[in-house]
Amino acid sequence: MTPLLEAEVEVPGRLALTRIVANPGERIAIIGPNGSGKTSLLRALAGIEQAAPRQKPGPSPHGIEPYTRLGPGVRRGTVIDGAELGAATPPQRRRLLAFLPASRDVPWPIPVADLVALGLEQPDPARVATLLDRLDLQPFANRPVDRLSTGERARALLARALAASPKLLLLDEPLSNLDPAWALRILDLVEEEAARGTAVLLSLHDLGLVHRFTRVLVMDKGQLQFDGTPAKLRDSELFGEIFGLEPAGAGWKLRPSADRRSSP
Amino acid sequence: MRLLPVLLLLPLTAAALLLPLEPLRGPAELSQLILLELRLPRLLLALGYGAVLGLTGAALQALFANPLASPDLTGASSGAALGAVLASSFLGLASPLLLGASGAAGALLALSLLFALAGRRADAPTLLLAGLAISLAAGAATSLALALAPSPFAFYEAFDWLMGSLVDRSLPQAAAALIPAAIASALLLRRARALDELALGEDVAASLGRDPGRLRREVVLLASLAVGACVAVCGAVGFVGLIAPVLARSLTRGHPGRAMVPAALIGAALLTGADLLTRLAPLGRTIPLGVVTAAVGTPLFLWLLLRMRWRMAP
Repeated sequence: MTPLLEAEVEVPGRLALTRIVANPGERIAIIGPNGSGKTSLLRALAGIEQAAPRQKPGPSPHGIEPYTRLGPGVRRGTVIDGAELGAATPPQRRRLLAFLPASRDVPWPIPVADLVALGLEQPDPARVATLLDRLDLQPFANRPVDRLSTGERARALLARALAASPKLLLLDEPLSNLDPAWALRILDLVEEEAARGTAVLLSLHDLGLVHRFTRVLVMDKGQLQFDGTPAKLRDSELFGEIFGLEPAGAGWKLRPSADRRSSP
Repeated sequence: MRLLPVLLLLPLTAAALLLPLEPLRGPAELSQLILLELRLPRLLLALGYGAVLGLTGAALQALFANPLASPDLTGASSGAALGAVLASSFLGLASPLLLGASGAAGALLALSLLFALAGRRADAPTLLLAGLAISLAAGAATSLALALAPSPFAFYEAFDWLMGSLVDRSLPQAAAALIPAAIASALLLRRARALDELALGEDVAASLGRDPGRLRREVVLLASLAVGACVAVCGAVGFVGLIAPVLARSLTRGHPGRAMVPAALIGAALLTGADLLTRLAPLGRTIPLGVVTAAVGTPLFLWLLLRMRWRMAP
């Protein structure tokens, strides 16, 4: 299968040179402690960070070798379905990818239906209505976004990201601010999108939901430290090392404090 | 509702040309002179300057995602006022076109300083604060120039630049202000779509292939050029650029970029109306234009503020 996403990205000071390849239909969770580079990775994949001059990745600050290695002849930047993101026009980019930032702020009192329509190149009321239905936003269609709760606004912003049916979805913490039922419904929605061949990369903090994904990336200190299935992650040593957690029963518990990374 | 600004503009335009009626009752040549040489340039400047204020105000508010941004925020209008005051009080220039040129030079100088201060990244908070600092510094320098001016009438002469005036401007003067302003405004209008997309944040705009840094520099540059050209000829007029965009966004369902055209129409109506008031107020002498826009603008602004607060209340 030809990969949908081939990317080699780097943000000086925040994200070491990282290579990501993803196939259509993959659902990839990105986890990692605060400040580990999850957002930097998503922003870099979305082409928000400008490509930095080429430099070799240095040794990892705490002795862990970066998981990824550059293949020979790999191009810098993000390539989606054979199209180089840097060379795509705004209308083309809409069909290639959508990026949902972690911030839920919308500075203007735009009605929900209009906010969703901002994700489309041409006005398409039928498409907007479908999206509003899928996210149960129909009752708020004409309500300005500043009069929604944060969770409702998060759903409206997600509907905007889905609007143009992009091939790659980059979602930064789409489940934060959502109640548990909605978090699960959004995961169902992500599965539906993936079933149509979309590749989804999303960052999250709820380790209990990681098993719903086909693949997990673990970020730490600006480097990709793990790339594999959720089952493989649970057995991995890295996991405890990075989060300061260890498996306990069905969940996790804090490691003994001697090992905890937050202690000085 | 959307036609409201246009419906307002028509009677205002007619009134600006025809009122007061008495001087037009004289001989035909005289009324023609009054209409073409006095009232037409004044009306064109009121419409054009008002439109520029509304449009640039809407563009800057969209750019900074802040309903409190206004065209005088970039420092260009205070720079233009300073240039004109310095030229008239110290260089003794009196020709309107030379004063206009000095004003334009002041605006460009303030603008260069703004971009030098904001640096290559030109992020929004730096641009805002640097513009504010330049505005305040230019305002203080203007006051200093007036205090030290050799002529005791310097303050009186500078009043036009500080409070704005459309009186006794000629058609060439109107052209000198409005032609560059119209070009800059047309280029600004082409950024409406990008400014609307900015409502979702700079990261989303960048993920769609827009360059937020370039957009910021372009919008600030074009807005400053448009406003600077008008200030160089008519002096600084406040409030219109703050209020017209707020009124306009209530016609565009909150969208900031596509509010530029209605904001221009509302700005034109507001300034034409304000200029009419300066002429018609029965006080026996001319009230400065800036005083009228502030007197009309402040209550309007407070009303909008209260309405927003009521809406936000649960």
